[in-house]
Amino acid sequence: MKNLTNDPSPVALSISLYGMLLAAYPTGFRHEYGPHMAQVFRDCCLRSYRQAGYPGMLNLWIFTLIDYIKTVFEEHMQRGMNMYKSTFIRLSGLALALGAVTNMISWLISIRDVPEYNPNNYLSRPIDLYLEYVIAILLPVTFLLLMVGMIGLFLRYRKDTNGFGNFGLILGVLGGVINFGAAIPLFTNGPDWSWTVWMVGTLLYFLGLVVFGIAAVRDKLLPRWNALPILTGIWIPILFIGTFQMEWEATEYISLGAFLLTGIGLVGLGLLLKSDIYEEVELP
Amino acid sequence: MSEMIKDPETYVPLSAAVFNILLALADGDKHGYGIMLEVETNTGGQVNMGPGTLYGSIKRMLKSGFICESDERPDPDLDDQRRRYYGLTELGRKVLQAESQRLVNQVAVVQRKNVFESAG
Repeated sequence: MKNLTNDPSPVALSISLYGMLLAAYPTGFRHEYGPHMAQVFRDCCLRSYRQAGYPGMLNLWIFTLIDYIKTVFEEHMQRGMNMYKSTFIRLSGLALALGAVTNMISWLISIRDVPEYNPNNYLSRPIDLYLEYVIAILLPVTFLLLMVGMIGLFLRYRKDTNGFGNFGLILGVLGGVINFGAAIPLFTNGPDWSWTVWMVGTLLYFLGLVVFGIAAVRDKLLPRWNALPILTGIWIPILFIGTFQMEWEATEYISLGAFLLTGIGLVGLGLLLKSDIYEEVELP
Repeated sequence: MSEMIKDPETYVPLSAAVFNILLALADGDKHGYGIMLEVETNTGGQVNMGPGTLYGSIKRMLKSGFICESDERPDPDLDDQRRRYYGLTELGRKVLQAESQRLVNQVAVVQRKNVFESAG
């Protein structure tokens, strides 16, 4: 800024006041643009004072104060929204990784060999019932975490990708919501159709991931491992379609392989999402 | 990560402030106060921006890649070196063209409907 002592006193006073008012803007914005805003305000003050004296200064102040109140509010709102969104995306990455781990644990529990319960043998405990309860709690939590993770992927990459990639992300979110919605009736012995709904949700979730993965490979959307969404999403649909449409006899080893690859992929995607720093670019 | 240049059409319609800032920069780089004066002149005083609106818009336009900071000084001897100058980017120019085309199309509709004759 130029030497302020040469300015007429109403102008110098106005600049000092405006400089103090700038403190209400978010710190980052104030540091970046505060000196330039003060410079522009000074130029406006000098012009108003030279052209119309005190009434001109009064007019300028009324106009500037309205602009000030509006933009202080806007800048804080945008900063708050950006922080909330970036925090949510970081946490959703963790949710995705954690959901993958609980999914693998649930699956490992579900395939265990359970000794038959014998009430006459004190060494035999009603382990089956206990594990059923564990699964009934773990799986809805898993589906909730996986749904949150997919929402995070959508929020992070929807603006970077085009219609095809967005279609995949929306499919994934829809699958996640259906999956979670079906989890409660499914694991509380609800109606049979909840199985079908759950399977449709699961298929949509992973197919969505594959579609998004194709867009990621094509447009290099991720900071690294762009093929990871495809490698994560492909196994469950293959297993489902093979088992139910082509009547494969999927052995436990094949299922284990599919679940493990999917789980490892989801953990990788979750960590990727957590570390891929997000900064919202607001439309001007 | 992708450095995808988006379709300029996706940004239109623009706010009055953004359109007028882009228009002010169409014929050369300017500093903040220069932009403010040019907008005032171009709009006959109908669009007035305070420092908050001006720099809030500039911040978002920089992030969106419509404008960039410029090192060039039109006449370094006549100007304060501490002022920051801004210029249009390729994307900014395309967005300005897209918005201008949209407005031209609107004006064509106005003319086709004889809005001025019916008002008189």
